[in-house]
Order: sequence, then structure tokens, then C-alpha cells
Amino acid sequence: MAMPQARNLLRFARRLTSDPTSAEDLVQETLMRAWRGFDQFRGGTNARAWLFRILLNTFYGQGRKGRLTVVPLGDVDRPGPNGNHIAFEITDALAKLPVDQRTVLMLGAVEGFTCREISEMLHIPMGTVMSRMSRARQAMRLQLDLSVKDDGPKVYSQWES
Amino acid sequence: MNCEDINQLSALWHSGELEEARQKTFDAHLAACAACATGIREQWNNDARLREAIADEHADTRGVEHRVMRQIARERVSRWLWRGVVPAVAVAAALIATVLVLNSRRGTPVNPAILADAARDHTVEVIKQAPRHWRTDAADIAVIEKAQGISDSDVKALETTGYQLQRAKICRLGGTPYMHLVYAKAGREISVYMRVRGEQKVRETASNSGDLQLGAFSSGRVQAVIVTDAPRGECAQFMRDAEAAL
Repeated sequence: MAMPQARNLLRFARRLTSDPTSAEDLVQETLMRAWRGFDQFRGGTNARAWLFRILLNTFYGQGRKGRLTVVPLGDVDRPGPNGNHIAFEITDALAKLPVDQRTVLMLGAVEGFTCREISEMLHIPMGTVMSRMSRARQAMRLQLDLSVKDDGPKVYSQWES
Repeated sequence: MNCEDINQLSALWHSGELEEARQKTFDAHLAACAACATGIREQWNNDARLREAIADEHADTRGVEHRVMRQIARERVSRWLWRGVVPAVAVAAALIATVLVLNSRRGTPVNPAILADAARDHTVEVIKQAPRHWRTDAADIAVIEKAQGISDSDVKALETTGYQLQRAKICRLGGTPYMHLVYAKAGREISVYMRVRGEQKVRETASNSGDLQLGAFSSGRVQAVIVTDAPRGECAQFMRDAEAAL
């Protein structure tokens, strides 16, 4: 049940941790905790959400929250001469988000969890999830706009208030 | 619904969590407001590009999966040890400890050489009445009691069995000095070989050698070996009474 999710967990963990090795360690610990606590998993509930919740609990439980405000992408993610510049720009914009916004955006936009599910995973109110998600999407727009236009950002007054 | 409401509810709109009535109002605002429609559309497109970029990202999980499977295998062995082998070893250790404790309470078995010497000594000196220097006088007996560290009260206590002390002397059983006391009742004689016991108790023993009944026990401060040609039941009764008296 857990192994097919390993790739998604690893991609998500890379966005949380500061380096690929830490991300692999985090996923390994997550899978081990899932194996050890499998009797606590209630059949019929969302297994993916359960795994991501374990990963987040492990991450925050290890006291990593404070020092992970910026995630360097490293050379692996940088496009080569013929690489995908769009992919680079968008993941670079994601990396520049504060970790709390990056987390909700990854969970919602990439992993497809609902705001309610994210709220339960992160143990924060729905309203907080909604506002973080909204700020994250606005910041992404701004970042991407800056990266493609030399003459400054396009202004969306109603989104940036 | 105004532009600020759109901003606040956009997360629910993207995740499809808006209830039907609000969804309709939200969509109606987008149809009427080009700025909001552009903003939402760009967010939608950015989300799609982000999903695509992340999905295309190389993520080799073979190393992680291998390490997880190896750790699971190790923990399974560990669980098996803790749930299977360790309890079994603990039970075995508890059983051994119980046996040792019971054995220590029951005492150590009497040396067979001592019983054999006692049987031989009783046959030669009591039944066949080989000439020996017996002490019959109470004062003389008290002297050898003192020499052996045996209390006079212990010697006298055995007379509560109904048998009377006839004579005493020092002998050796298995190389160890014992006080050989002969008690008699109605012409039947019993040899009691007595010495001060050490730290270890002697396990209560009853056996026979030919027509002789043999017994050994520890009680109070003394260890005693009994030999008699009396029937087994009479010997057993004497032992019980002697143990109680001592």
C-alpha cells in the first residue's frame, strides 16, 4: 500500500527538506512508521492522506520546521541546454515560497488533497489553509510573471491586497 | 460576491469544495469580472504546470525502498525474537530458577557413601554388637556431645519419640565425624548419627539396604542419619517424630 506512494512522498519531501538525502531519510522514516503503525490505519479511509500525515508529523516532529524556509533546488533540477525551462521556472518559484505556503500548495495543487484534508493533516483551521493557499498562488503568479517579463511584474490589484 | 470574496474562496473553488450555491455565485462573478477570471485562470494554469513539472521530475525511490525492506526484515527478526525466543528463554530461565529454589529448599541429597557407611556401622556395631568403647553414662555422653558441638537438649529431644537413649560414641561416616547415638524401645534399636549441620540442608531421604531402613534429614542445628532394622513404617514414624522434636 505504501510503496507505490514512495515516489510522490519523495517529491513532496524534497520540497520540505533542505537536501535530497534528508528527503530520502524522511520518506524512509515515514514508510517505517507506516509499517509499524499499520494496525492504526482504518480501512476504508484515505491511505494517501494517512501516509502524507505521517510524513508531515515526522518532519515537524524532527524539529526541522524552523530552518527550512528556503529550499535549494540543486543542479539536478536545473535545466540543461535543451532542458525544460518552464518546469525549472515553476519549481524555482515554488522553492521561493515560505515553507507553510509551499506545503499547502504542494498538498493541494500537486497531490490533490482538499482543503479539509490538508487542514486535518497539518492540524490547522480550514481558514488558515485557504488563506495560505491563496497567498501561495498569488506569490507563484508574481514570481512567474517576474521571470518572464523584464519590465516588472504585472499588477493584479485584487489578488495582491 | 465581490473580488475579495473570490480571493478568499479561490482555494475551495480549485479543490472543488464549494457547495453548489456558492459555486454558482463564484462562476457568475468570474463570467462578469475579467480580472478575477484571468487571475483564476492563471492560477489554474500554474497549478497544472506545477503538477506537470513535479511529475516529470526524476525521483528514484529504489534506494529508499531497498533500505525500508531491509529495515523491515531486521525489525521482523527483532519482533520474532522479542515475541518468540525471548519469552521462551524467559520461561525456561524461570523454570530453572524455580527448580533451583525448590532444590535449595529441599536441600542437597545426602552423600550415598555416608548412608552406606552408616548401614555398615549399624550392622557391625549394633546388630552384631562388635566390641566398641560405648559411653553409657550421661556425663560421659555430655563430654562427647560438647566435643561435637551438639546440644544435650537435641540428644534428649529424641527421647520424646518414645525411644530411650542407650549409648553413644564418636564414629566417622564418609570421613566426617558423627556422634553415633543408639536409642531403643521395646528391644528395637535405632542408630542416630548426628552432627552439627553446615549451611546446606540435607534433603530428607528414606531408603533401604537389605533389611535395614535408612533415612536422613536436617532439622534445627543438626543433620541426622537414621539406621534401623525396624519395619519401614516404624522407621518413617521415628523420622517424623525426630524431625518434629529437633
